[in-house]
Amino acid sequence: MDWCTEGTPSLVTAPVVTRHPRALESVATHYCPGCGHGITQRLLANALDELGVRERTVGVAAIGCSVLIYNYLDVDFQELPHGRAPAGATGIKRARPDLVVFTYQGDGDLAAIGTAEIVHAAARSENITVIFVNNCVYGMTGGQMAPTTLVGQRSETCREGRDPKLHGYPVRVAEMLATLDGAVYLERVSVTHPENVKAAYRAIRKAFAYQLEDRGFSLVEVLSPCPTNWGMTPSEAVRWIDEVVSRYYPLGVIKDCAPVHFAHLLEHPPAESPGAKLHGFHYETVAGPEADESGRLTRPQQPFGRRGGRWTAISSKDFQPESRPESGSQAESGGAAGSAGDPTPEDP
Amino acid sequence: MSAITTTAKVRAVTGNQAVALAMKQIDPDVVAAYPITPQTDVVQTFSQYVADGAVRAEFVTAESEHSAMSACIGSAAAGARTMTATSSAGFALMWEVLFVAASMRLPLVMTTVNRALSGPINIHCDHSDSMGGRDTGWLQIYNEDAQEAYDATVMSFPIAEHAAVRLPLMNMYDGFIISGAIGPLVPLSDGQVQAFVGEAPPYKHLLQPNDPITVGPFDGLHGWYFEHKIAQNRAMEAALPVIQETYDRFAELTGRRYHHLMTYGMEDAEVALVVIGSAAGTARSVMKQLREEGIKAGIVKIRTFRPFPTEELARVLSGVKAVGIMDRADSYGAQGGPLYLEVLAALYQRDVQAKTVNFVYGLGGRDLFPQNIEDAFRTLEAAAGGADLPYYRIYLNMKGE
Repeated sequence: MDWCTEGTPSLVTAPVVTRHPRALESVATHYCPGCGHGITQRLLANALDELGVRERTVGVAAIGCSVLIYNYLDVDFQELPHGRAPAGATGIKRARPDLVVFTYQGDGDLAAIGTAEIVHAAARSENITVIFVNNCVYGMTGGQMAPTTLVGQRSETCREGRDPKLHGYPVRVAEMLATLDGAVYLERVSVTHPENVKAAYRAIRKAFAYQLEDRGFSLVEVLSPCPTNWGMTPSEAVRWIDEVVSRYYPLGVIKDCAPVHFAHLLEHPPAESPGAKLHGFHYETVAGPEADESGRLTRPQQPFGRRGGRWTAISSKDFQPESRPESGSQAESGGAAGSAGDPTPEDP
Repeated sequence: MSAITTTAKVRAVTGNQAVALAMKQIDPDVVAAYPITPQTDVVQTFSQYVADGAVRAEFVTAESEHSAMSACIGSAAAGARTMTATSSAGFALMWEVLFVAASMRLPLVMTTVNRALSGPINIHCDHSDSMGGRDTGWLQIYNEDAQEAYDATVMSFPIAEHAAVRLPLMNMYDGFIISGAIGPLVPLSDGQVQAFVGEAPPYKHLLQPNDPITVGPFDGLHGWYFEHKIAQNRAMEAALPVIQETYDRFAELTGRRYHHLMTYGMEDAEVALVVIGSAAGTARSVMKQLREEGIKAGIVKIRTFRPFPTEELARVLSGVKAVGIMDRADSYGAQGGPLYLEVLAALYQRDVQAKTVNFVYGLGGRDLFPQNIEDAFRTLEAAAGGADLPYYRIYLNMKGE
């Protein structure tokens, strides 16, 4: 149904700005005001519509606030225990490679109890799409400290803020997975401002397009506001993501390349392979042609934002409106890999 | 529960707050946990005590229950007093290591806030989590309300750490019904709790650099695995009198007297319900009404489930004509729920002749109304008068047919 035109004759002549996605159910949301889940799920629905895959898509729901996505998306869902979604998605995709399979997981799920599953799904380069909604806190249980909680961030179980001496340091999931050869496409986005939402949409669509191209494991990490558990207003929460959270979790493409299989590397030693350069057990893609001689696609890779650096605590004193996440991370990385920052989507 | 004699102020708290307060007063060395509804605010409240500096405990926010229990095993093996809490799927994720904790004879104390297991996902109360874990080798105490849960927590370490026992102990109470509902609590003072819990008795099999040992190594075909398991069962047997002694010592301090089985109206009962957990309160009030009608009804509430008080149960139920056993968990493909099978075995073994039937109720938080209890008693009353009872379960408050 087109909500912008149907039943509203006075608007028939107005240009259609947006349409209600077919893949999104027309129901009221249960999410808190200012929550990022609604935007993210809408983008997901839009992507499924645009790629025309809604009828053959299966979602795997996790545990936490994210679980209720099955009330909002008009696709089949499998619900699995806390953290196990990538393993379940593996089973579905292996049994039915013709289906489009995605998981939709929060940080309390994916980055904590489900660390093993996500790491090994990526290592096996399962051809699935993971939407990872990171709000730096356990949302549904009421705001306890998660592995992703920032240093200095207050939560129900770290009332004075996360203290590295007591609680260690936050996990950067996308960067961690980037060390795995099986992870093909990793991008971090946020759903704060229109330009960020647009970038988030391009990333989500691309992650699904890669699955359709049979490229392997892709993950989009969505920095999502949780005003309720952060104790902020929705607008403060958005500002906090832009000014603090995305400094620790820099936005942008973390990794974007086709997997280079070991057998392929044996046949084509790194020196001969224009797209890949072997470094010990790892390889890095460097700027090169879109496809190597075997037809495998290789893409420029953006180096990590703060690789090797020791993280120092961010507090509210560090609010710096001029600090935009993407430019910050690129400046530190030394500007390698030419078009790395270009978020232009890959259309199938 | 018997009359409260202490003059301490009565507080209005949730079950979870009551247990968190007991944990604070015990002040264990280590607490490692992972959040899960409806347990979360036990540990969250405890973390407030940590943040306030009210306890000295080392507090570990683990990345899963499997890791939380593993961390607890490590700290207990190093000689630290260790506590944790969980529910439902978290309990299930701990499964592997629950056996390890028991077989290493580590006196951990865990609060299990009862919640249904998936699937479909359900966050509400039933006993399928802890009942599923009844063979893990842990001592199991089921509590009716916040006061019982608090008292049981205070009594836990003296039982678990007793030289003849040395087993992990879990305390259960019903999710939401008790964990989240506010009820009265008469707490002890910090000093009273500290004095009651006391120092852990010395135990030589701990990880110590000057006396190196390996805990839990491979022990295969030609080893002593079998005997090790027998030893665990002996410790379970030894725990039964130790638990009662601890209950008695607690009664001297507080006037609140506990037994493995709490009985109500069983002196002359002809029909009886065996219940566990919060349903005992509803059952008791219905029982009183029926007694006014002249029906000789009685209630047996089981507190100590592991070890199972077989002898005592058989004694209490001898002379009863019809017994209904109330299960808040089911055992699929079995002849009845876990409590039913346990009670049936006890009666058969001790040659107690009574008609029995299994009532299954409250799965996934389904309400148990007084009317359901009354229906159960009417069924038993008819059986006591000669009517047959079904071999299969009777489901209480089931939708449809």
